[in-house]
Amino acid sequence: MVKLISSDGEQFEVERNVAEQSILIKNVIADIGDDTTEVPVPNVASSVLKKVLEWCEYHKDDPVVAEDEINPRSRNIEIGEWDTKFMQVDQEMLFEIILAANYLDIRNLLEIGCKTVAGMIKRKSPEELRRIFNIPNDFTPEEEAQIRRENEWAEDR
Amino acid sequence: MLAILPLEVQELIAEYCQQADAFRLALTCRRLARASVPRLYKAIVIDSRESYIDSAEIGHITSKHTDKTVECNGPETLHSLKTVVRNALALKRCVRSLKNTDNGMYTLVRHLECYKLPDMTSHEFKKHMSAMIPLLPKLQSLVWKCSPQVSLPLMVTCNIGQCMNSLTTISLEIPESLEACLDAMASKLEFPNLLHFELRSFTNPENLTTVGRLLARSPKLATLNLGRDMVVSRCLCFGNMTSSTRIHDHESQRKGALENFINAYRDSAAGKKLELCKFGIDGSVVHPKDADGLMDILVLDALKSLSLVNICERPDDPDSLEIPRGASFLDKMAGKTPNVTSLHIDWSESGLRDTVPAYIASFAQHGLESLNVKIRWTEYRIRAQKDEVHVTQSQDAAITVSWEQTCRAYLSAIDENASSLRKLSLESAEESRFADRAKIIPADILACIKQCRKLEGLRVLLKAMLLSDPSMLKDLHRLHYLDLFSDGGPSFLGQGSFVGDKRQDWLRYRHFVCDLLDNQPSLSFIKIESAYLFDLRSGDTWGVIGGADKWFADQVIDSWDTVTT
Repeated sequence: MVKLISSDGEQFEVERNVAEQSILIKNVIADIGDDTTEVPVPNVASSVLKKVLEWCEYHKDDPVVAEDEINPRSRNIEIGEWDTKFMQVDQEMLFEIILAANYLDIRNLLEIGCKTVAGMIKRKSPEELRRIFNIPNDFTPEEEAQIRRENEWAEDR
Repeated sequence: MLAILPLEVQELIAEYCQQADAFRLALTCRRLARASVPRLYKAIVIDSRESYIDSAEIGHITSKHTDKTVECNGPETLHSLKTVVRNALALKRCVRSLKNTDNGMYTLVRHLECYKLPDMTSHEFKKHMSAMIPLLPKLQSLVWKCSPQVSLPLMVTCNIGQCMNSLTTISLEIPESLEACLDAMASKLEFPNLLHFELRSFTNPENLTTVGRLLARSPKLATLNLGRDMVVSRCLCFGNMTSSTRIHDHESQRKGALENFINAYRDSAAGKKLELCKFGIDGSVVHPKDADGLMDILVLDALKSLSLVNICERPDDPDSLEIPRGASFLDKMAGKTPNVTSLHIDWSESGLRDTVPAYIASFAQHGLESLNVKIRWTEYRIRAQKDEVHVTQSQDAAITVSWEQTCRAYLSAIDENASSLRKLSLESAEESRFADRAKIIPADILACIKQCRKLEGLRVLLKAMLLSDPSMLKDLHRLHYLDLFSDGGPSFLGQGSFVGDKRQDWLRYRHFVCDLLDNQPSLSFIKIESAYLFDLRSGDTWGVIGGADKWFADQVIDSWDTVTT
């Protein structure tokens, strides 16, 4: 078992193979070389870590894909039913999960998260996107016009 | 919060976006522009074809295994992660943006593919492309499947030099009228880091002389495919035809493309062998001595995948119709490539001798994992040979082989590889004077494939499958996809080509699929007649019209390949 400590001090005791879905934690454990270590996860709050561990628990038996074997084609694979439900959280939690997956280096969770966001972006105008994701427009009118002009060739579907 | 995510996460999100979504995302703020604009330039595809699956013909399928009925969206645009340029206006704007050296977009392009010309004249197109290609210093992959008249002069005149060192993949077509250009290409160009070269299609076997010289300067080459997309069967080449329709009128045709390539490479490479993991040639006439040549220029142990398609052996004496005496090409190759696990073979011998089954069986020791074979047979040839040519006694014995015997020989050769085979594509044809006609493998002989317990993918003639007992598949517990192709005749079940008829066909096939599924829970995809797609994981079916083949090839077969290799 491994004890993970979130940024707000909460402790989570999980099986080693669950925690080791995170490459970061896996490396930490390998460095320390002791089974019952406590691993602080200072960048992740307990509410998020709980969610991330729920995902790791469900996927603990997934086959491991080595970094260099990740093929762009695998990106076409659809998000499974369980993962779709898992990602049905409010926007803030979704981005917290993505940040945590990025920090903890959980490749599959990061990809599923990014894919979910890409789904939310679909067929929205820039104004809608700014509203949905609360993005401040920091373009000058000239800059915006330039980006539009330079890339409008790609504006197809 | 999206706007303040780390850049690498934003980039990942942009990569999952469709191109128009990535474009609109770039217009929201500076940070997101920095993350999503590069995604648009990474891989540019010039293609005005509409490749889609028509969702109007979509229906639902439910079975015991998939109770839910899912609202069905057709598959996403097929070019994922690529940015497609569909029309003249978009191409002009794209070139304009790449020419703008201030923004540096030209350094982002890694991959350029060109299929169907947008709505502009080829002169205009050429002008734009010759402005575009030299701009791309980091281009790694160039796929050119459109207008060969444009491609070569373009490569030569626009001095592809800038990207010569970075290019790892080239895929080209070459027409007969451009031999001079090809020569220029061979003498001027050099691609030291080239990993993949594909030529498809070329018309003149002489072209391969040039290609052989060119590739002698690309020491890293790993995959080579030389395809002619031309039917070269014994019947057509050496059959009883009027001389005007024979394709071997030129001496060079008769000599064969492979020999040209081998000689040119050997002369230029100074003893250095090609260390290919994948080699393919189609549409060539070969002689048994080419097998020796091939062994001279290839590191045979490195080879993992071999494709010999549309090939027949030429006679020793150009004027005779007899096949060469002694060991055949395939006899010589047998056992020489110990690491080949993937074989595609379509070899025309017209019953004069049949070395293909023995060749397939020769792989049994280490076992083929993927086999694509076309069983060929001809009755016409037998008669022609008997009438016109003196045949030796052993040949006489060979040519009286019946269709059933031929099938049995092939299937038992496949059976030799049964313990390792994971993917099998089985075509069967009767050669005739003008073209091949699909011929059905008898059900009892086909049933042999039930020995291939590891089979994950099967491609076979639809009629053969419908006429067989579907339960023959029941022991294939790993079967993942079925591709049932039609023989080109009218639809087997339906009446015509009206949409209503297709609907009827689809309904009938659905019953067939449901039956099959009850015996075969491992099946995930079935494609029927290049038009009907059944995705059994979600219970969706996609019909009809464009895109089914491409979708199946990309999503099912290729992803299978990448998973298993």
